[in-house]
Amino acid sequence: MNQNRGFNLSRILLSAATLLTLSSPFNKLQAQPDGAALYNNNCAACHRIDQDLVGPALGGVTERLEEAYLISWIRNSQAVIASGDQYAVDVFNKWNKVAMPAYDWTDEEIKSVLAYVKEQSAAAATAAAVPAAGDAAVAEDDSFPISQILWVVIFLFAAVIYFFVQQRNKLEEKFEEQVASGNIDPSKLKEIKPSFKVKPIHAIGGGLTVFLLAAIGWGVDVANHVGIQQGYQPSQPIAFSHELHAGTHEIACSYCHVGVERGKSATIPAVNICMNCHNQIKKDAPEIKKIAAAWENNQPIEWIRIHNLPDFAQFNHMQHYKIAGIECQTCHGEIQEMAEVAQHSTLTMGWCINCHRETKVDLDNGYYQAVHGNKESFQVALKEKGLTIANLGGLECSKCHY
Amino acid sequence: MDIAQKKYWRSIDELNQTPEFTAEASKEFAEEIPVDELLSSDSLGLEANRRDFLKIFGFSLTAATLAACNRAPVKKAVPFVAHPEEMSPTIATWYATTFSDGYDYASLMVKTREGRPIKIEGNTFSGVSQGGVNARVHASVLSLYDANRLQQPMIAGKSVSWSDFDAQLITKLEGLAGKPIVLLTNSIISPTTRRILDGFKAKYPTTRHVTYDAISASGMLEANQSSFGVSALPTYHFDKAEVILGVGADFLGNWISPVEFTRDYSKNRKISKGNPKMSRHIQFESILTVTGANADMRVTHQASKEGLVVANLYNAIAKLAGAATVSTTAHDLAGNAIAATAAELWAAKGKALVVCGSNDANVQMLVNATNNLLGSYGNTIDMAAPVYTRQGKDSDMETLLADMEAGKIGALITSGVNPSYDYYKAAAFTKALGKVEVSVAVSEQNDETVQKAKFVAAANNFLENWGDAMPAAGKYSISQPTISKLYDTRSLDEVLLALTGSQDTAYDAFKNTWKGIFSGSDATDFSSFWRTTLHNGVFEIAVIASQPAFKGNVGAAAAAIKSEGAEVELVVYEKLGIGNGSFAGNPWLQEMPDPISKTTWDNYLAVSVKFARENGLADGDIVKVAANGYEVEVPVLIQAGTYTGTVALALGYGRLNVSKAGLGIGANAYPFMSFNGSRSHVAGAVTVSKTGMKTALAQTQTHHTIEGRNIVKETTLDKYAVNPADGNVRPYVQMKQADGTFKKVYPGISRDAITLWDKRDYEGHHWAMAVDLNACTGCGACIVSCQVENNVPVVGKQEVINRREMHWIRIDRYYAFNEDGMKIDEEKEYGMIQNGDNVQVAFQPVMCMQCDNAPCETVCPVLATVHSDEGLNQMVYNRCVGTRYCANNCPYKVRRFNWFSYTDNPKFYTNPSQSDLGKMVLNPDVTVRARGVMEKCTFCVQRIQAGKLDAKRQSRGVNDGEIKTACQQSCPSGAIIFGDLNDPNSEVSQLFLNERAYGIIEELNVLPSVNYLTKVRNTNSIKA
Repeated sequence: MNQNRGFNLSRILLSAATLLTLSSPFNKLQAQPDGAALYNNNCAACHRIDQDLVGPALGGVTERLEEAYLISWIRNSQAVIASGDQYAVDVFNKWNKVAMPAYDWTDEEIKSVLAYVKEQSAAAATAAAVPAAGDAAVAEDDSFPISQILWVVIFLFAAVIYFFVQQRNKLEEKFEEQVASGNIDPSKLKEIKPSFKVKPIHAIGGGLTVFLLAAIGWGVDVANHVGIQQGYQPSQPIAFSHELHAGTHEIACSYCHVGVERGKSATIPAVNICMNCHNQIKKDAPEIKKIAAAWENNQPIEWIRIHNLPDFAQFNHMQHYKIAGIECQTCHGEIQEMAEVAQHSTLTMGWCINCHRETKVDLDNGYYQAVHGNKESFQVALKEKGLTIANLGGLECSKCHY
Repeated sequence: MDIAQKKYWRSIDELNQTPEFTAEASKEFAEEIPVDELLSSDSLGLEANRRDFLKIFGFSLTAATLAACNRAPVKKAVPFVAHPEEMSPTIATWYATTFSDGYDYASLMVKTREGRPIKIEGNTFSGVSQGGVNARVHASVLSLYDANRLQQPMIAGKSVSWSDFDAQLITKLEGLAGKPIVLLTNSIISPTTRRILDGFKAKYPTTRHVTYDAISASGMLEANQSSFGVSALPTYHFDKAEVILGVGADFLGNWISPVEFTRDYSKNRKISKGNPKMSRHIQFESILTVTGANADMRVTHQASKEGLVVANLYNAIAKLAGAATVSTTAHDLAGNAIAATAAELWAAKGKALVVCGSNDANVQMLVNATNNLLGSYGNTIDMAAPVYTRQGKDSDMETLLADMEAGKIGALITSGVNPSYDYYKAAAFTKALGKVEVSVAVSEQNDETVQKAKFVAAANNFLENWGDAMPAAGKYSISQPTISKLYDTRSLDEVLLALTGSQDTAYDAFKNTWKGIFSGSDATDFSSFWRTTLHNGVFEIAVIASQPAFKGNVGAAAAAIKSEGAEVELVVYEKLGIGNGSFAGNPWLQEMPDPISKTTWDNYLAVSVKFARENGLADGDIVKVAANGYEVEVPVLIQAGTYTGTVALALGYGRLNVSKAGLGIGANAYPFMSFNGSRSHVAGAVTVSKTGMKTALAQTQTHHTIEGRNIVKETTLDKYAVNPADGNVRPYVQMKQADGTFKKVYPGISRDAITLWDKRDYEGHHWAMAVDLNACTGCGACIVSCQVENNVPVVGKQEVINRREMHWIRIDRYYAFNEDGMKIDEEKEYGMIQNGDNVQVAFQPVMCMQCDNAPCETVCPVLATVHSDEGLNQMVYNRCVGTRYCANNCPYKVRRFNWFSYTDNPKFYTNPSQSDLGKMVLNPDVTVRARGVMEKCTFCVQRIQAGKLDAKRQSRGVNDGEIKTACQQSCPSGAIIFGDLNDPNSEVSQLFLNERAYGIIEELNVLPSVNYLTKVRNTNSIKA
């Protein structure tokens, strides 16, 4: 289940190339910024450029229909249908008679939206021409594993041994030269010269030492990673994409993770939250059908849990998100870019503590003013550099363990 | 007697210096390290020796290494399909509801987490229970998850559906051909159930309703009927009484409404410099009760002489009042106590109160007459506000049993009662049940009465019910479900509605009742009235009625009082934990030490010192007790404060059909009761004979030594009035000043530690607790509340004997002996104790003191216990390696070690968290500790954290009193105050400056964050 974390140069290059290709059409300078915002805030809930949603795909709509017709449709689609326009009536019937809301926009605004749609249609066409990219570049492991240090040490150790063996063999040769040249009496050689020859036992000993060191290095590395599931990226029973929901559609995290503003747990959304939108949107997609099935059969979805804290660690989402104002991404990584969620952080105590050491507390909160406000040290800290969580006891055991 | 120098003893054992005691006292740690047990536990299945140990050690190491190489197992996260609106994971939802089982009543707030009720707390809106809850009600949350619950209806032992059950039962009931249907229930205080009952009676006109209370107030009901024409109990106002006399009435323990009485009573026991007044409490009793232990003056008497005591008291007061006396045998207690008490009561006329625990209508009639002379009615007693929590008349049950035996009863429907266990003629009742054509048991538990019933209607737990209660006139409270039904069960309301053929649900019926109550209220809009009532849990209206006039025939009552007694008498009594026995299967209550004897997991024959000496009895000797043609074998416990010639045995034990935790625990004492107009709790002509066998009693009080230190400090009211710091000598050090002079420094007061270590600055909070020894009654509600809140395991009898109980808070009980003005100061003086009944008792709750200079912290080799910036002594389970150095170094002996894995070692089957159902009650906010780690009171740090979080979210400081620890919240007398010592205006910091405040053994300079307020005894006798 773990993603391959090895370096694969060709994949990285391919991904980089793909990203470069894809990025240019997204450059917002080319479209009316007004139009993009209007589109995303009003149209995107029901329309896509390249696929049908609640309403039809909008790709190429500016070529299919005249601008004036589109303007009147957007202003008040029901009026166009009521006028008996055949095309309008057909579209209305085809899309389950879901009425599109009327938008009281100026011509300029509507034109900017249409320009944006045109723009996007072109981009989608380009994207379709590029072969689908493989896995995105793998996030590099930014920690420096202790095993790598150990390998370097082992290498250096072996190099030093090699160097000494070389030197000794050279010395041996020199002795032999001296004997050969008659400077040393061969009968006395044993007395003045110890045996320099590297015997098999030495090689075995050396080998064993190297092996032992390697084993210890490996053991330390393993022990350091016990229970750490950083990068854990299981396949979920439903291929839910945060990239699509939180990224592309910019749905706020707390829309689905409702507990984050109130409770210890951010909560994994219940099926009814999915169904808020998906009883309309993309009902026929195979993954969505799984949700609908769960809803109809009253069968909860068994997601694979990714973030596992031990029971003795009392973490509170509300405290971090609501009171401290920590972004979800600080711990969960760029979740809006994850098609499949992986554990971003180590979730070790060291990782928690480190953040508590670095993060400044919002001293404007009335609690800190009330509890610490009359302390001189507090006022000094407030004026000068602020206080970290650690300064206010945030490293203490009972803050999290009880 | 110089009270400040009074010598306290923890137990008779200590005073007597038994060889067992001296052997144990010399050890720092009583328990041996159970290496053999650890190694030979079932999971290992090995005999222990060195080689095996090494094998296991080696294997474990390798296995752990190998296991560590694997990936963690895949865990699932399963959210709801449809998220219920009223529930969010990790956020507690609270429901207001009511506990009423015909014995205890309390209006509650129930905390649910993820839909599971996990904690019960008092509802402060209630004018009856006033936010207090006793130990039994605290523990009752476990009954929901009890394995002994009935799970579906049954007919003749076979499970059936409710529709079959209804159909068959209705056919049977309709085919009775005029033979009466009897509904035998506990005291029903629910207006809805009463209404449904009327509907049932209309459908089945031969129905007769009989109320049966296992422990009844039948005598009082009859006395009130003939005195006032009201067959109910009055409302008592202990808070308005300046002089209180209790005659055998354990009103702080079990009598009628102990939580309400404790709340009211303690209001007059909290004194301050500005108001140096407190009530005077006199208790006459034959065995030591919690109430007697709290009395300012306590005099013992022979159990059978209760009536004579009351009659003589009446005469003494009648003389003072100039009223006619009654003819009775003259009788007085030691030190002319009756005459003296009568004078005190008379001097406090209108502010005096006499209560009596007797179940004899004649005695209660005299008590009523006494109160009438004292002008108590309308002042300290309100007969115009009747209380309905005890309605059972003992004679009704006698009549019913005779009818059953004669085969006159067509159908018997029992609900909320268990007469096959707790009736004094249980065997006869069970036999007579066979002669009833249709026997129906509506029961939650698979108890003794259910065994013989043909139709068994599995009943809801009270936490699953819609319903209501009216414990007293004008005082309504509601019950609402806190969880959906766990099993296929019905409430009594639902059962009766179905038998009546009504289409209403219990909720409909309940709501309809409340439409009636609404129309009698001054509310205008039903839907808002309904919402408010469901939210508050109570609805109370003032009852304005005049006091009925006293019209009792005192002379006749006095003439009917029996005065003959036996040489040895047996009293059967209720314990605070087990009560009437309906919760005998609750391991929390079984393990709660009895407030007086500090014994767990057993009942025992309490005998006096003199009785034991004369009969050669020692603690743990098994004796055969015989009376009224019934006999049991129970161990002996020498109980100080017992009248010589009286022996006592607790009710509620010896259950046969109960959860496994209660099986085989103790002996049934109910059959010792007898009927003579009402059921008597006293049996004469008792023989106690030795069997030669011996057993160990699981007592907790003997588990530590105090080495003669002055731990409980006390004074008297008159001394307090002169000097509020009387009896509270605090340790100080002489500090040399710069000018060479010496200055006294009181570290405990200035909290300015003279320490080897760096001084700590508590910049934010500094959590602290104050315990008022004058308010604490020793009832033990805090012990159970703490146990529920903090997932404290139950360890079982043997482990308590091994001194390994796990309670985070204990209540130490101390005795001081004072006979004929002679105090007992040395062990060698034990022989001077004649009866041991004249005993003074002090209670002291002890939890972790969260010392500023904590001795435990300095000895932990792995920093598993460290100090926090908020003054907490933190215990980190995941760091602890179990050296136990900390417990060794703790001067207060409050640290508890997990010797075993109590959650899965089958040896500790009594621990509720061993079963899947029992695990439901665990508090998810508190870690369940594993084997091999130390634990202790945390000051409920989870509540502190939650309280701070609330404050931060609302951008404000923490309000004083906002964060309450579990013990504080549960305390019916409000003896425990928790708060921030850094806030100069907080109640706790004010109390720390109180003249009465002191820390236990503060001469050690550990600066405990728990301070105690000295006990003040009101020894002033008001002279007439």
